[in-house]
Amino acid sequence: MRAAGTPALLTALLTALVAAPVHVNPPIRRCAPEIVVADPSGQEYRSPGVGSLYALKFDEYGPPRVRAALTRGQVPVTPEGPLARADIDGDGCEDLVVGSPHVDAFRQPDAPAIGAGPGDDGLVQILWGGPGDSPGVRDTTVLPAPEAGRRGHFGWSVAAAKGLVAVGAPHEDAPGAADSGAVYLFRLSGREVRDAPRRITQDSPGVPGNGEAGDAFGWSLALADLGGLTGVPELVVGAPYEDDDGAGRQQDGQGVPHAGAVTLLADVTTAGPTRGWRLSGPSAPGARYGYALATGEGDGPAYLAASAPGVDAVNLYEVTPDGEPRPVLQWRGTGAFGFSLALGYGRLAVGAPYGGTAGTVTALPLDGGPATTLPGSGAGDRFGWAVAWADDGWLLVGAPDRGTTGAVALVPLGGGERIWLAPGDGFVPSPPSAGIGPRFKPNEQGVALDFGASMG
Amino acid sequence: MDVRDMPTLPGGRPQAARGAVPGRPAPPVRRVLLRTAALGAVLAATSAVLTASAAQGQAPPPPPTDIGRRLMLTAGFDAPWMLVQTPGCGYPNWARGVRHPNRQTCRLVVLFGNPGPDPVRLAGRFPDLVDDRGTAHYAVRVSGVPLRALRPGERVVRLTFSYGMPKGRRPVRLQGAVLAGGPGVRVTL
Repeated sequence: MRAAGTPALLTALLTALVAAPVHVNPPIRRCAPEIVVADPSGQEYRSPGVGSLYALKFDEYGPPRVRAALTRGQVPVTPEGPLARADIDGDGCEDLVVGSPHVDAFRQPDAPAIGAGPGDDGLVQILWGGPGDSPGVRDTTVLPAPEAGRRGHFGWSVAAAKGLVAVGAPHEDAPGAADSGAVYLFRLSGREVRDAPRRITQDSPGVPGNGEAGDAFGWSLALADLGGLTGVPELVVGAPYEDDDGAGRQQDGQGVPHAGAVTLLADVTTAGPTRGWRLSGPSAPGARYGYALATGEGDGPAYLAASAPGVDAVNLYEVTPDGEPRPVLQWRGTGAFGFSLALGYGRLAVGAPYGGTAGTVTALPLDGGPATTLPGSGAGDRFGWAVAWADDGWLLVGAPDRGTTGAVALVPLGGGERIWLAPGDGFVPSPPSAGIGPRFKPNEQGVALDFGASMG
Repeated sequence: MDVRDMPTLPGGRPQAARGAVPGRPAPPVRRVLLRTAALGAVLAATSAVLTASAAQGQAPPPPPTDIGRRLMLTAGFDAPWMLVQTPGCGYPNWARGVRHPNRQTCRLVVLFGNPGPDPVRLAGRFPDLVDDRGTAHYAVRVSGVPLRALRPGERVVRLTFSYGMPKGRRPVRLQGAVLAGGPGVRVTL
């Protein structure tokens, strides 16, 4: 629009710039977007709450130069937990796993397509990334809830590794234990699901603890090769509403209510007996230990971080080569400290969206060095609702209540200006309205509401 | 749409940092110089255009609003919440099968969620809509099912309420209790 009034010289220069080669040598492989930001409450034309998923791709020079686009799945994408990224099919490009815990999938009569509508069973989509592709409808695998009618919010949490996808259903019931929760483990060969998923609960053999009403086992998930057999991942599961009530099955509300717990299952795909550890956090009412999880693997030690935002605490574990987690550090903060977590670049990013007036994010070096605290800048923004590490040590921070649409900030930890991104800002598109028809009322057109509530 | 079709955020990384990125080759110097010169010319021209248009008047800051904000209905970070969209007004207003000549209908889309572990009961009546003259108008649910409670983990997205009011009036706020036995809320629109 702005170009319409510009002089011819400017237009010519712009054309020359656009036409100029932008690839550096050697050419990079174009895979899935580096970062995905979700608006789980976004509205497309007259479809409130369908949600929107945005792909952010950094250009050859790295952040903050970013291209943004809306991404679609085969069925509506309504992610509410963290998104998972991993090279699942082993083609060298990362794939995205997106949970929609409030959408049900169903087969259309006499049609191969999968339909979807509001519901409480949930579904998960794998958006396959590949060279030259942008993930989308053509390359999507839909994983419906394994058993319809369980209303377990399958897809509340997701995690992925090579050949493996884990999905949490924290409100799935066990006999006599409502909302005790479950996790499903899908094995894949290439882009094909190999067999029926393995269902894991706290009553499964080798899994510590007992499935009790209201535990919400599967609220949070992580899947990473932290130790044990090389190339075989560990599964970490949060149950933040677990009561600290000792051994054996108890009634809900016994002991320390909602203290929470974290379970680590080593070498989760091996055929032998499951080896599991139960990690307890601060034993305080409402601590909600396991509300958020983060794992980091690399050349050095593997790390696991777990939060208890109810008491503003985050625990860091170093995982030994045989897969056993050992506590090494605990950090304390304020404002639901640990509501979100992300590990990367030798640091743990901890979101506290209720810290101060706008929310805060703290970057904590894993060697115990001094912390860097990043305060939000707008009252009520809920800065830190979600965090994710971007390229080159940049941090992406979600502030879903910033403005009417929500926003994310690209924050350079080395110092420098934050870059804010929000739908409709000229770079991030707004959810689409209908392409034809009369002038829309505000409640009919595409609306962004919660951008930055979920990232991965 | 492919991400490659989208515009790139301007500004870029600080020049000093570019060479320090491990594993990422720096672009050839000649190409960078050419592109920088061309970019400079474009920015200068664009700046003149934008400055001219900006000088015609500064837009006032938008008024504070709760639209699009997650409104917590109880205390706690996992409390039940409500999200309100911008109301749409100017729809016909019907009474006994006849379109009222002097009244309009406003519609409001509302989303609810309950991430916490306990069910919450909702008030029997959704909050009133208060217009710019201070008059309150009652809500009529026009889509979605009657909602009496939110179960743990439940999320409701297809609730639309309508309000009848005189033409020309503008919605200003929602006012009333959302939870059964809960405090009154005031939502600025």
